[in-house]
Amino acid sequence: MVRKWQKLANIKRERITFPRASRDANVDSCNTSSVVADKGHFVLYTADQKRFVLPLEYLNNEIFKELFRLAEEEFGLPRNGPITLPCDAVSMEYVVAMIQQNIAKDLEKALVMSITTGFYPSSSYLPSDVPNKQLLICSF
Amino acid sequence: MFSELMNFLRACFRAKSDRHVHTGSNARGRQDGLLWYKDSGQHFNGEFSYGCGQANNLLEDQSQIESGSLSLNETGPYGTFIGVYDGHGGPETSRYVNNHLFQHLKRFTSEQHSMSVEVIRKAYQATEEGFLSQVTKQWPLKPQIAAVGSCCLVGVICGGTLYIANLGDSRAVLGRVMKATGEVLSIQLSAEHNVAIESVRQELHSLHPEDPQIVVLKHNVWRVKGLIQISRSIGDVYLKKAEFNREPLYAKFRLREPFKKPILSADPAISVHQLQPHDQFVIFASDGLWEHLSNQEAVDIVQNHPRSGSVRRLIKVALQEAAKKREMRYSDLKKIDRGVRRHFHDDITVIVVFLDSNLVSRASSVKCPSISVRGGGINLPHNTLAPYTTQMEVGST
Repeated sequence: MVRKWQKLANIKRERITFPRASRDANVDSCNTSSVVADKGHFVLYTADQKRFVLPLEYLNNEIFKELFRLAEEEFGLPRNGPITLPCDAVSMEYVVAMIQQNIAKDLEKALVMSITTGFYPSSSYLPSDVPNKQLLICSF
Repeated sequence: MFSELMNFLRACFRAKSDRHVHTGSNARGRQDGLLWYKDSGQHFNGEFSYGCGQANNLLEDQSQIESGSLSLNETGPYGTFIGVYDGHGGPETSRYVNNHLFQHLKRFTSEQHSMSVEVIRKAYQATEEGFLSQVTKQWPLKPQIAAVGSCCLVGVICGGTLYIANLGDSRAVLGRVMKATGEVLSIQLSAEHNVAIESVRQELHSLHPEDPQIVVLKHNVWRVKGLIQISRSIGDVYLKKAEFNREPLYAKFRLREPFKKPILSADPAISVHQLQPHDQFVIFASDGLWEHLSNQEAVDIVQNHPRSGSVRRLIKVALQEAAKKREMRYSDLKKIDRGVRRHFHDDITVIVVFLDSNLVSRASSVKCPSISVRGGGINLPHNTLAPYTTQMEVGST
């Protein structure tokens, strides 16, 4: 199953252009922390400090639920600041692209499984860790 | 009588019309989405306002207000009891405290024929021991119960005296009118046992001089043994009794070195205050409120608005603040379901107890009907087909 999914992901990878600003998901690389998200949206930051504005419905997605769980384990629950997830912008863009393309439930499950089996070792969150970014994509 | 009937009819009507959004109402309070509230009620020493904003999938904050006899006897003493129990790791400990602490307090008051610091201390101790025996019983089948605990903030108003007892990081704040200016000043009545505070870290270091790693800074947050932010609690027996710090408890809770003396304490800090005529109200709240509002902000909000609905207003302002921190709209924050909501804010429980000086100065032997209200919340598992729920508990007499 995972192999099937990886194959599919590989095909998709060639086609997907990661949206820097699309209708549903916005990636905002400049630091505009005081900006409130548009109606119906929430804000996430990745470990490399990129800002994502995402539709509220994404909170019901199993992949995001798993990412939130990992964030809690890794950073504890956020108090004063915004929510930060323990992955980098590239992998987040990938997850967003997957959700936008409405991936099949079994692929979603496989992705959640690959997340839970630890594709984010905690040593890889350094923003300058470019090789790891590529590794993350490959591991998809 | 008529108003009760109206409330009943209203509740019936609402049950039909709003099934899908968990809205309900009864004499004990109303549930509106993840917010439960009772805008106003009467206790032995005045009015109260009560509410709870849920964030966790299973509400971990439990709470109660009890008014009437503080002993098992009809002879009293009479007064008001307030409890806010902010659980962590699950709802089991805070629920246990909600069901047992007040009963223990009544028993010890009966034995000693009066309210005292000693009575409160014994009630805490009996509750801690009772929960420990629950853990011992459940350990073979449910070992994770050893890693569940609760903060425990209690206020007792009896005979013009206010007792405040605390374990953990909930907080009680008094609003007192300044005669000269007419302004209301906030006076914090409890100290938090949270290792974010340097003196609490120092206390732990002096209690555990052999362990330089007793508190650890992890992702900018201080934690006892890298695990927990508070130094005193009910429960958390995995950090109190070494025999529960072993398999099959999850590895993340197990310490490398066995410990000889308890790491966390269940000994409450208790203070006694003689209430004065210009003491207006006391706000009891879990840290879910205080992480978004300062003492003075909270006191000003209560003072500058009608008493009824005070708590709903406090929770709203706290949620607006939480939304701002998460860079989103308050109206959108409210749409987020319990569970995931915990990443946006904590469970928030608030009880504002207004002090009517005529009633406060009344003798504690004056009888009054007893009232018992407990905070509500949604505690059904997701995907359970129960269209309408108001998790209300035990009634009054």
